[in-house]
Amino acid sequence: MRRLGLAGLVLVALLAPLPAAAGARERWNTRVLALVPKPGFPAHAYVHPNGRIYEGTYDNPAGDTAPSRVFEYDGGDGALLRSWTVEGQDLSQPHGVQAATSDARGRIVLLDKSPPRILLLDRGSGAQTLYAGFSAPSIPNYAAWGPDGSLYVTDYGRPILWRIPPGGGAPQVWLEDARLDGGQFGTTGIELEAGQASLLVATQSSAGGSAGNPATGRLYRVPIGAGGKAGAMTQVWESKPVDGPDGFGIAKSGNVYVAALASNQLVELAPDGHEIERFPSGAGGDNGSSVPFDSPSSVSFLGTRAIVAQQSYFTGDSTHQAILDVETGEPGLPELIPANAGLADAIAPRLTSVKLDAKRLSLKLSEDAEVDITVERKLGKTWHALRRSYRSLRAGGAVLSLKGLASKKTLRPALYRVTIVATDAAGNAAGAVRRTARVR
Amino acid sequence: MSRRQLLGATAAAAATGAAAAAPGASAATKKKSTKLPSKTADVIVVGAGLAGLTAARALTKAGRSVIVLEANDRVGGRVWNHDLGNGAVSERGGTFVGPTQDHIINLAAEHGIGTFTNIIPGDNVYVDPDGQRTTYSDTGPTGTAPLDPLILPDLNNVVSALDSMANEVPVDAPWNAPRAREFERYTLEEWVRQNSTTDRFRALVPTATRPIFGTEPREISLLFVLFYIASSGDETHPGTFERNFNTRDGAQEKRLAAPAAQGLCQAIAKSIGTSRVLMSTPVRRIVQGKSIVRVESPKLIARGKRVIVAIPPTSAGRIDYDPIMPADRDQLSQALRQGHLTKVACTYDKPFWRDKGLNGTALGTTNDILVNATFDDSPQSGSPGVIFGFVGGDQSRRYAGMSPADRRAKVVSEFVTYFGPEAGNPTDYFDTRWPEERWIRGGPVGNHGPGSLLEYGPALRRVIGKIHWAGTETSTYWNGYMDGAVRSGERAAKEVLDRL
Repeated sequence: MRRLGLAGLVLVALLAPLPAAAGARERWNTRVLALVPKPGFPAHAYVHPNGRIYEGTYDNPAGDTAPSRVFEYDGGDGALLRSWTVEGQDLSQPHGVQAATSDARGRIVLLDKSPPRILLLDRGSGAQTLYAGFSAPSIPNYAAWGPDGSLYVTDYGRPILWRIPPGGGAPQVWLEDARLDGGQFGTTGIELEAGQASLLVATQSSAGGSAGNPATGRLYRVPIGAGGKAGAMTQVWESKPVDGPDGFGIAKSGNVYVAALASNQLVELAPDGHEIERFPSGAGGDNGSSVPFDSPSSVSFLGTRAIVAQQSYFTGDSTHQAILDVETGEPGLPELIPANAGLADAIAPRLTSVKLDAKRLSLKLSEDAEVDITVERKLGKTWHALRRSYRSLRAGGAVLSLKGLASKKTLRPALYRVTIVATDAAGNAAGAVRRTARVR
Repeated sequence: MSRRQLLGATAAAAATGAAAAAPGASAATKKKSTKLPSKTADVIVVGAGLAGLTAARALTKAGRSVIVLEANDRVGGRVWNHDLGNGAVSERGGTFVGPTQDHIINLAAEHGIGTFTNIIPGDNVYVDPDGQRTTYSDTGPTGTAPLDPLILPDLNNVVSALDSMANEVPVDAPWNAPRAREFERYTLEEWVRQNSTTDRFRALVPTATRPIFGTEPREISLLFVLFYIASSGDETHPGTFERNFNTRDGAQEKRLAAPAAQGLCQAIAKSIGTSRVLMSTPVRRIVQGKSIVRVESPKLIARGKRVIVAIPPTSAGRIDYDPIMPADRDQLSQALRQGHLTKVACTYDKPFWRDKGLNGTALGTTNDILVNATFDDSPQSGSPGVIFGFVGGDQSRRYAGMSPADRRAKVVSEFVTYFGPEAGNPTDYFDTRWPEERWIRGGPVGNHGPGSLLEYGPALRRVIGKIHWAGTETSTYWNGYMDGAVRSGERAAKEVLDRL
């Protein structure tokens, strides 16, 4: 979230150590997992399937020229593990990134504000690649994968839900609806529901005037219809005035936990949209931890824990810019990350006509690939590795000398075994193929 | 103010050899052809200090095979016990733990090693630049720093300014601090000169840097000092100078109970398996192949899918890499010089100073004093009595040039100045000259001079091919300390597990 022209509350609290991890935590027990370093203003704490938390730094309303950062935290003890600097931002404009989700390769999907774009961050190499670009005044805000590998993206600046086709590319208008028009305070969280047939989408306000009370935000359900088209959007919940709904998480039960940025609360909704509870129940954001709610802006489940990023957007109090850990007492809905999520090419190369005789290995490849070939020789009852080598092969047929593969001038009489794994440029690997042949 | 620890910290051990030794190694390799024993594991860890062993332990727990290669004939790296008998030890290296250092404390606890307080009833001793000896309580407003009215205004202003500036420095990337270039223009000495008013206060500054960094204020950049302060905390407690320097609520608040930090390393090595943690195996060369990394020592060849180099950066720079390291990584290892620190200790039948209302902590700021800071290092039982002292920077270099007899006589005479005539008859005297340790070459930490952190800091943790880096110098929090070493090992293991 950002840009609510509403006054926030600031409570100064001394930091305290984490409570002992042992023992069950009570519902709503809140602890500080980590303070987020400068440039701060964390907007969405993303829980990766690997159990770690990825946190981008978002827009500093006072302005700054520091590029955004992405931090990696241990989901257990909150230890800061790694960090990356976002490349290619326009630092003369308000800028920031949200770690929205991850793709099938584990890369972090970053939604950048300036320029408006989607990046894939490779955690190993640090490489950042463009997945999709938008034009002003779009502000890609939150994202969720569809079952077919489409990425659905909310737009804080325009009343549009975007669909990025599998593999990336030009954003397509998936749904444009005046009820998503929040003026300056537009569309926020988006999550795929349990049946994988509909998305929940939040708006921070209805300032555009088409949905009723302009001070309230809403939660809508949008079916993914036949052929992937958007179905009829229906309202699930209307917030209280000036709640400022932002990101949210869905529990396995179907309950929805919404970060109410402006009222400094977490709002728990039943699947039918009626409010179950607010935490804390009163104003002020006192959650019992050393850092009160101060513009909480997202909810992601890690087990039964709601991981909440909060920006302290209005006051910019760096001691409140934190990742909070709130026990909900119920498990979250696992995120769907389709096997082709983020991949332009999700098809592994096919190895066919693989034959091995005493002199050569022949095979056919469906596409260009790097082939990992291991040659072993059987002595007694044991296979002994002779050599492992890599060959870059073109699509089509190939014939390779067994002596060459084994790096031997002559081959001793024995039983030989060759194991082949082909991997294409996109990293898709075919299952290992193994052949044996006797040299006499 | 306070004190500090010392050899603080850290731990990455050493498993490297000088590149100059490579020809000999090559010759030996050639002579023996391929006869060198070979071992294979998923991951090869270079260095059996706290960082390397923590990484190896995490990998083993995750079901991966590891081999740890240690150049020295012991585990521990910069943590090293001196046996006092009856199971008691004095730490030659990393000694203290404190609040927010949960990673080392938890790791020790998992191995049955607890902590005990280092807060000993009694006063601190202060010998001022004029040689006047006074005592003061560290429960006062200055903490461990001397309660000297002539330095208080400067002390307050400088510490406040350092804490404030440190708050601007991100621990994961200090080179990204908005004013990084401005900070990097100063040495600590120059910044203090411009921001203090009395020579009396300025004389105190080396008393802090010598134990903390093993350096003089002129040798380290302001940006590095600010990072070090910012690093003295954790993810929920921003670092402060006070937490770094003080005993109460600071990094010197507790000690690990016997068998202390090296005992912890021994316990971890045992849990990994002694056949997997190999001593006296210095790594000379690391060759990265397409899928396998070959790690060569004169004793064996180890092959793995990944390597974690968990030794001080300066030692890591003495390994021969094929392909060669990128320029910035190599420049980093050239620039990050280990501190010049010596730790000296005297043992006595009992901690007599406690009966005199002293807690064993002393700070001395006269020009000729070698031991600028001391601590009570007696075992938890209180017997025997042990005082250790830090000799750092210029004083450590002076100490190195003295004869053994002169060293002892000088240190003992200074202990007499601090604690009275009873200090003149120690039952034992021993020192640890870290710059002379073959595989470590200094301590407690690698230090950045002006320009180094800004230009080469980004190479500290950057994975180069299949080579990952651990060691306390790579840590975000508690850089230079045992906790930082453990953190770095945990982080490196996670990096590797991501790729296996």
